[in-house]
Amino acid sequence: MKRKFNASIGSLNKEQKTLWIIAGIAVLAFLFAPAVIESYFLRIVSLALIYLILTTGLNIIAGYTGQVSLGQAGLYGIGAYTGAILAAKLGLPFWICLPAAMAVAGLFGLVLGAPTLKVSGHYLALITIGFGVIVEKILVEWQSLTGGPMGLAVPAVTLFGHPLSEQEFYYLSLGLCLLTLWITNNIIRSYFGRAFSAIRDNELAASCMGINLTRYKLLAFVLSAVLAGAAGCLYAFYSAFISPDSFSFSLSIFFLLTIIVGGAGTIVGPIIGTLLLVIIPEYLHFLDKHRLTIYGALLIVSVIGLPQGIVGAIRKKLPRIVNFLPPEDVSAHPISRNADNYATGNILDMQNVTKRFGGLTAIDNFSMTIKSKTVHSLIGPNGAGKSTLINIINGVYHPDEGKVTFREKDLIGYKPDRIALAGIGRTFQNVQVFRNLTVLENVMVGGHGKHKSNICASIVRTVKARQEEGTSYQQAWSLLKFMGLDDKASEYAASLSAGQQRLLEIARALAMEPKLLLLDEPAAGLNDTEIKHLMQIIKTIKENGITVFLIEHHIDFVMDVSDTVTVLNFGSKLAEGKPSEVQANPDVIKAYLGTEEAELC
Amino acid sequence: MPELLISGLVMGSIYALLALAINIIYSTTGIINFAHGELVMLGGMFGLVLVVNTGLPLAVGIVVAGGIIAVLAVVLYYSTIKPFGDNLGGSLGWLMATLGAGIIFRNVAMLIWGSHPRPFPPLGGTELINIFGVNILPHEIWVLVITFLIAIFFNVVLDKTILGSAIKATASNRNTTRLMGISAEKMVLACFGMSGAVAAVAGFLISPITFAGPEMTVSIGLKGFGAAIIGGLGSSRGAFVGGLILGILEALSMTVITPGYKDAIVFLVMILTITIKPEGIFNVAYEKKV
Repeated sequence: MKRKFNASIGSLNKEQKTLWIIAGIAVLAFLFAPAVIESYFLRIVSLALIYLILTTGLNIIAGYTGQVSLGQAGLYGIGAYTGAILAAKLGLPFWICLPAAMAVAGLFGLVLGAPTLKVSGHYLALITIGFGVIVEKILVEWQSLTGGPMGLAVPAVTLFGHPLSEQEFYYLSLGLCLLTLWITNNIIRSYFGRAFSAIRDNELAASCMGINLTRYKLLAFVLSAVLAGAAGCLYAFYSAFISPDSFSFSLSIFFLLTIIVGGAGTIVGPIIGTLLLVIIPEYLHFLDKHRLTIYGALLIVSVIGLPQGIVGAIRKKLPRIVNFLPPEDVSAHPISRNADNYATGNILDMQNVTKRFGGLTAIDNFSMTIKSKTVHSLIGPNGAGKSTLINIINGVYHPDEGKVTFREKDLIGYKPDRIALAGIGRTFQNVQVFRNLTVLENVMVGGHGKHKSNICASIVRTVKARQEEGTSYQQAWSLLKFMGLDDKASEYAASLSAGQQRLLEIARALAMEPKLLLLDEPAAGLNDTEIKHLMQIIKTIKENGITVFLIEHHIDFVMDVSDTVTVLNFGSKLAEGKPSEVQANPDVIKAYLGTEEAELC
Repeated sequence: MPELLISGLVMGSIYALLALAINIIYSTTGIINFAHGELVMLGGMFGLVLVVNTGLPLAVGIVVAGGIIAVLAVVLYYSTIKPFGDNLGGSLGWLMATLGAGIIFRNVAMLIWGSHPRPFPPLGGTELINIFGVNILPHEIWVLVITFLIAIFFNVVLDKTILGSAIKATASNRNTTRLMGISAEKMVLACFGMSGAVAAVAGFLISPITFAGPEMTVSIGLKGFGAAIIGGLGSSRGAFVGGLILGILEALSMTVITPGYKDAIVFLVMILTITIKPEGIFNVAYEKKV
């Protein structure tokens, strides 16, 4: 199976073919550039390639994972100084300095990434700015190691004892740059990349799909730091002399500017942005005095006028560039049978659960058991605490008191991603799709937990990694077909209607192959035909041995699909039993319709 | 030691002054104006033009510069924040845009006035006053007093008046605020105007200490953000105390460790505060409803 599972070149559409031709021409142009352009300009292009290694890394963290880093120049500086110090003071060759610089920068990336587990947005921006300033100050002050403001001279890169010429250095940069792009592209196209983008679009939903936020955010930070370190080391050897003012805060802004102009969150974006912003100023030397002012203006204009960058604008014009082809065999049975041995037991058990928000007791001493392989519904007036209950089951909230056990294992204290991987899938009352991912990718994120290959296997695309990918792809298509969304596979989830987004959420949750599926008001906003369709879907899910816990306001719908109904009112259980029993219960009628006096009014 | 404490308090007051203005914008929009340091710098530069070059009295200079920077802050709002609509929490476009505006301000100032820092007359002359055996400049007393008054003013406005409630309501939900008959736009503009005026005052107070130049607030501006965060965004009391803590910390690190590392230490404390207690010293964290 080829990339994107397109069988051959013949299956590419016109837009995609054009794109490949342009990419081919670009690679050829870079390969033969030294033959035609003069040495001064070649140096500029080399610098652009070095920057591109860094901006591609920055794109992983800022573009794909959505964590803005304004401290990239600090990591770049750490890489440069690690390489320079090892080369100048210990006389080590470039080929040892490079991995060392990547490792040291990666380590700092881990430290810098740690706060993202708690904060994001402008807090993270300030943390990363602060980090950059600290690095700059240390580079100036620690004179015995860094040479302070006077800087440090770096020997040339040598290969078998002979120093590289300008042209050879260019090819070295080009090689490393292409390698970086290839590695990054493979990571992004794998389940790692989907996890990054899922975190950017919706952290809550991502963690409920089994994505460990801590691990993936740190991974993204380390990847971007390693690439910044590589770029820094390369830069130290490129310029033969480095000093702290080469790694200032304004460079961090410049790096971010390149990916914003090109298009954050796309592979091609940083390429376009970096090449443009490094090379064009060489033709506009008369504007040098105004260069920073222009950068500032460009920053404002692009975030307002072209928020998705140049690549985003092209994509809007040519939507068919993203076009998933269905696999040859779209299975008729997308829901894998749940071969759970809890055929008759209780799959979920809640005992004396209490949850308070400040002074408000949302759930009050609530107990309930869900029988395996049934549809268990929860109804109750607005504000009764129904969604809170789902959030307690899947670990979004931690209850103040009580026990929740799933297949006889205690769930209390676990994070949503662990609970998701244990076999609990969910949808949300207010829809939480990954808006900037395609419909197909949304469903594939649901299959996250089934991928076992590590990052190295994903980079080199081993047979096992490709098989896993193929399985996920096929399953996602089948689920979309089952939901009737297969014609929307290549569209962005944000473009779907509210009803379709609800169905997409169910498909995404089914891709998790859950043992227990929590559906939070799946019929809200659906019309009658769609509700009938949904009823059929839920029945099919149950037939495949998956237990369904359903919150819903459409009473007819609930009565039709449920085996058991629990009624919740003011955080406590009002009634429970078969649908017909609950319907006849006087307390339930009172809670829903009020007392007789109230009815008279 | 007392001199050290005084200089720490004076620098701390200046950080507090920045933090208070950053805070008032946060209170109504939920965002941080990353160009605030540059507004302060422009306050100082306009002060230079009005007071040193034109010869206006200092008090008149402050008022005029305050007006100019207030207008500039409003322009800043319209050009870099308003285009992102009401839901500013959703994207970080405003962050990039205000950073961009800061870069423009600094570089345009450099084109007009050059990068060379110039002396600026302090408030109350240059004669030292002896208070309890400590020699202190009148300007330093002015810095402490003015900052304290502005902090009290913001505290009263935000926490004790109906205007303060309207400002906080705007931050919480603009549409609902509009439905209550409050012009959310006016609240935001009022806050940007106030923060601009305070930025100009800060410029007048900082310039005699650092000298007036386009790069005078590069690190002071960042420390203003730090002060606001350490104290807790949204709280005037927090901004004031956060500034003082930062100033004293900086003064201490200058004597205990070496002066060169003072910025590194201040930013390290800021990073640790954000990581450990992002809501700041004076705020309480609430569990977010999903």
